[in-house]
Amino acid sequence: MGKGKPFLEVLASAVHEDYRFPFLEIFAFLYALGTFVLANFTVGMTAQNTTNEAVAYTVTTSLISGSLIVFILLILKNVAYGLGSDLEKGIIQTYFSYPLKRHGILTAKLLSALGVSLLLFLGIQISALYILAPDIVLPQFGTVILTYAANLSYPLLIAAIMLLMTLILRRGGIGLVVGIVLYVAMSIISGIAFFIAFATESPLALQIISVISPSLALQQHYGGMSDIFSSVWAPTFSEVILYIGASYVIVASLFVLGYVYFSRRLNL
Amino acid sequence: MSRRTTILGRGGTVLIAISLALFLVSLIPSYQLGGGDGITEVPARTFSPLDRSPPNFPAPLTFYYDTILTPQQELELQLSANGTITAYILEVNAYTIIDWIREQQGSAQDLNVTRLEEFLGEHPNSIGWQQEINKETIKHTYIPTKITNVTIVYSNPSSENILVNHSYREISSLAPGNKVLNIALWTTPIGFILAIPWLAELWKQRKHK
Repeated sequence: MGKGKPFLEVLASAVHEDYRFPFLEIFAFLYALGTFVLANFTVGMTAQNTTNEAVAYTVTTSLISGSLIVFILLILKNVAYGLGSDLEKGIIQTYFSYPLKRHGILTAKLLSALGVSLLLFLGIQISALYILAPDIVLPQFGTVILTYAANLSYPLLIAAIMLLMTLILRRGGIGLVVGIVLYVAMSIISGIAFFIAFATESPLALQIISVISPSLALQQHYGGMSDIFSSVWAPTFSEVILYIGASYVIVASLFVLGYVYFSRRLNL
Repeated sequence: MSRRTTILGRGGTVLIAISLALFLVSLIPSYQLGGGDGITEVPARTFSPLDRSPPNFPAPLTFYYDTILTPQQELELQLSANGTITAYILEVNAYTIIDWIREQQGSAQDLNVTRLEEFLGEHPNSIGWQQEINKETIKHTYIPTKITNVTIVYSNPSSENILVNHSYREISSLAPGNKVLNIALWTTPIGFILAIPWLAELWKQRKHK
């Protein structure tokens, strides 16, 4: 058996489990519907959006907001419930008998759980943007990609935390609940951070939040919130890149921890 | 069942699911944001933006049509003229043209046709649509592909004054209905072609069990 074969076997099995017919189709339908129904281009008409980059940012953000919750639901289901039930039922134990290293097994599981959903999400979203507004998307493709990178960082952080919890607890239920709580908590924490920043006239609270959720820094850079908040903190473009980079370093570190735990510590 | 059949089949069913969503989006009705009817008089060898001044508006003052449209909005236009004119939809504000001419010429408002041609020569990307009207009624639906200013301009190179009747409607929708419907109509058969072998195999397996 070639080296690639067992990996493909595990990947195929994981995809089959994660996207049983018609789950993938339902999520594709929801992505497409959510993208078009909740898109709101009128936000790009506000006076604050003076540059083409700001217009591209606001238009992309309006499209993301609807489908991001569907994306998070899908990764919650795949990472916490899918991997959790595989651990509980002993399917992972069966995979360990394959001539494949443990990190290969986890890579196959994550490619199925996150890779396929990310591919579907970005494929539908960018196609929808191109259908609706090609003259916004094509000249500002860099801004569009940056907006997606900033907005996807926090869902990926939740996925990494859920992965760690699922591996440590060997069941998905708690990871699933923690994932939902973390997602809801971020909007509450952001609200509090804005209040603290405004009250103390210091951007520190917003800067701390931006390290784990860089979409906030990008929003402030493009003047997404009102001028009052922009006067407290308006990060430069290079600062935004730094926050996005830092957030992905944290996400990558958590995934590496997950890999290390799965490869060395997971005893089944 | 071969892996290739499964991958193609699932790809096909995903395409069908996306097409269904697009069909649904195209069925959601649009609504009218604004609109108007009226007449613009275009003097000989001049151009004029669509004039939407009310009937008793004081003579030297004009109330040109210009607006901002997004890709989720469209402009339905119906025009007729008693002579030959060229109608343009320009992706600029009406006063951008007038101010540009004023800057170039250093004179007061000059609406000569050649000034418009000079402006269009300098800004070819501002033309969203253009059509010659020769004593006929034309209909056009304009859907912008970006967030843009929109103004309607008539150019009359002839030596006679021409009256242009206009009727315009600004429509708002979730997505350009025809475009979305066309994509759905193309992707649905492709989805079925890809999915049928997989669905047939699935059916056979179920029957066998």
